[in-house]
Amino acid sequence: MATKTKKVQKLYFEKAMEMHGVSPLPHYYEEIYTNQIGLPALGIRGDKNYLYYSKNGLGAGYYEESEKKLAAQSVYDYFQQPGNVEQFYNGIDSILDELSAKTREVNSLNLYELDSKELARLFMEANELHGKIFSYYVVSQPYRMKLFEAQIISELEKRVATSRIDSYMAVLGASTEPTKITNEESDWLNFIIKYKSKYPSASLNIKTLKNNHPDMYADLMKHFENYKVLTLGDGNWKYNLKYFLHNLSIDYKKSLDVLKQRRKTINDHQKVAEKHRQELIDELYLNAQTIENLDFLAKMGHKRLVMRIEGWIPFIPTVIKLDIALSISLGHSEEDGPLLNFMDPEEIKNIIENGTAISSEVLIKRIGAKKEFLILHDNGNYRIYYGAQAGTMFKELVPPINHNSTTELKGSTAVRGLIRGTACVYTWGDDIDVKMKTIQKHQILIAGQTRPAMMPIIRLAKGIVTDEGGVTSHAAIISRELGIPSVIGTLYATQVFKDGDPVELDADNGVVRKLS
Amino acid sequence: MKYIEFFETIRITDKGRFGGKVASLGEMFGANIPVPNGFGISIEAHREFRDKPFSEEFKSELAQAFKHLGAERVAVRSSAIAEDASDASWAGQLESYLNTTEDKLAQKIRMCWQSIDTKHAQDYAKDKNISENDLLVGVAVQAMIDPDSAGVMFTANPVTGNKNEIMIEASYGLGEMVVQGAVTPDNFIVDRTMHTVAHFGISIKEQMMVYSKGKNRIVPVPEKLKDRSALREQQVLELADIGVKIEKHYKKPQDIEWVLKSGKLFIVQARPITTI
Repeated sequence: MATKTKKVQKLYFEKAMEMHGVSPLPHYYEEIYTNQIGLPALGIRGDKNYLYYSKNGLGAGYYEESEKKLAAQSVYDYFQQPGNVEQFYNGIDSILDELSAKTREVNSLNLYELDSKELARLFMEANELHGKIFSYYVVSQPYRMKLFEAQIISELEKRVATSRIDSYMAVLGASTEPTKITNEESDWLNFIIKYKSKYPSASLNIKTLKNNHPDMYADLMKHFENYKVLTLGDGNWKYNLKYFLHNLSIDYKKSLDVLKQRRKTINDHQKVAEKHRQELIDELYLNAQTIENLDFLAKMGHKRLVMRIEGWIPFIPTVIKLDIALSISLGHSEEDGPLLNFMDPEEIKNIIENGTAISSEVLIKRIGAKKEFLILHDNGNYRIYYGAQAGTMFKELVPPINHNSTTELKGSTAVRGLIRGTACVYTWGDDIDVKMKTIQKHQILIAGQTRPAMMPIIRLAKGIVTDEGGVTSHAAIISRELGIPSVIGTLYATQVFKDGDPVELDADNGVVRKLS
Repeated sequence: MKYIEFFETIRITDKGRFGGKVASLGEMFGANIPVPNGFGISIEAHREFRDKPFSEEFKSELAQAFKHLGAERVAVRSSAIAEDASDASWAGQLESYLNTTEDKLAQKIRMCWQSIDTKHAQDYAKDKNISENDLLVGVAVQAMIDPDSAGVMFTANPVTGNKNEIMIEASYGLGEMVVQGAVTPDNFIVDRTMHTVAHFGISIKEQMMVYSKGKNRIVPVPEKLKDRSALREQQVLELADIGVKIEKHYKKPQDIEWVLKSGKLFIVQARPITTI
């Protein structure tokens, strides 16, 4: 493989990035490390029933209710122990360091000169790290935070109307630490304001820009480098410069006054949010235990976002690079893309130990797996299903519900407000560029859950509705940062609404209505 | 004074002279139950001045009592002899006039007297077999409190009849909105044995009645307060304790009207629950 030119390798890698999706392997490690943190393992290595289904690179886990309750209780008990909160945060920080170190190590090597044994070692180490950050990430999942929420809710019930508890929770549980997302917007506005003042009528064509205004071009590239992780699309792990070019074309048209006002809002946001939160804490005379739990949820929500945008998402390219190099060194064609992440852990062990290629029969299955797979833990039996079989299995286990007559859904308020508009429904795997056009016309974003990768769409939304989510969910955090009305956890919004449907988003009462 | 006595010297046994409400307020005042201070006007005044002007003596007594009370505004309520009989709660049948200033006092006293003569009240009286002779009323004049919150309390659950439960309803501003059912008030159930609030049902309270520019006005509740509880948990328990004290005093479950001002609770009315 050493004969491959750098250029070919680069193209090959980019192609692989487009094809890559969520794979079973991190889940395998996730369970091991959840145990190591001191929490009972759930999911594929737990002893309870669990289902994980992934299609077009996006997956979701399905647990039994009893399993979720167990998870919430174990997390609650764990964090009541002195020192465990601190230890957990330190754990996250040290894994983030390990992820960066591993990425630097991999980038410093010419992978195509390494033998398969060495590549296999690096590949498995990378996957273990990926599993490690995953395990911390799943601990922070909304359903595991339920008992902390329950304690706060029981206090809020004494003070505010039941129907408004969620919206108080949203303000009180908000993290006031800036995230990469806020920092990006602030830097971006600085960049736009600087160059719009300097070159009011710059041509925004990227080539012209490079020639005519090299300083502006250089700063744009610097911004892209700093924040490219925010452009990764769902089911598409390719950094997308188009995202920033798109924003540039929109924001450059705005007046300097508007831009400066927005910058002020963004820069003041944390201060305003903190002030508002503190006022509420005083006015509602919350006790120390409740304030502690609120702080905990706020910090956990923040850490969760950090783990995602600074941890496992930017690490994916590192894993893919190793996967490709190892696949090739085992004799597979570059056309097959990354293969090993779609293997059963036991299969991989075999392949690596014997240094053998994957059989063509298995290979065909695994290529299908990139589109669809299902992990089922059914009364102690662990199985992975690939391709169409996974889809059939999923429909059988999680039958779709008919929502033809549903016109109203109840969720939780993340940010208060009442707006009307039309729906832009984002389904997993939808093309971000296409949806960026839809959202300009239909400004209420309805999604299964929001992810950092959806920022281009979220930025243009006037309201957010999600199927899933809790106080620590990305949608809750992001809608608070952007200050747009948001109702999360409606369960079925993406099934009830379609693009262009008239919607009333009544986030004061946590309700979404389909208008006729 | 001939026609007037302050609560501190009135006891339940004075019901024949002042009517049930005044006697009850005096009794509570004497039992250290926090009622706003005030005085009673005896039924003799009703008998004497029903059809003629107030005498100089009565006028001077009123002025003196008002001054002594030291309040800018008062609540004027009729206090019938039969009113607080255990089998007839006169809820809504007799009038009360809040935020009365000194210049309007005489007028409101007359209105209290007249209220007994309205057909409405007399029909009610007939239904309950109350003698025509009993239809003289005393009047309670009580220092007006501009409440932050107000409401009612039943020392036994009026819905289920459970005597271990106290039910409290609360809303912002004057209690009239709660009594009239014009707002959905906050609802609390206190478990007497456990001394805990067993249920918090906090509602969104859109309107409140407040005294402003010489009038009681219905105004929107400030946005910030609408969805917040009109009573704190500690205040609910404190109020329940007062309720228990009143019930013990009268040895019967009580229907109580209360107000909250700057964190301090006052009882403005108590009578037996007639439905249990």
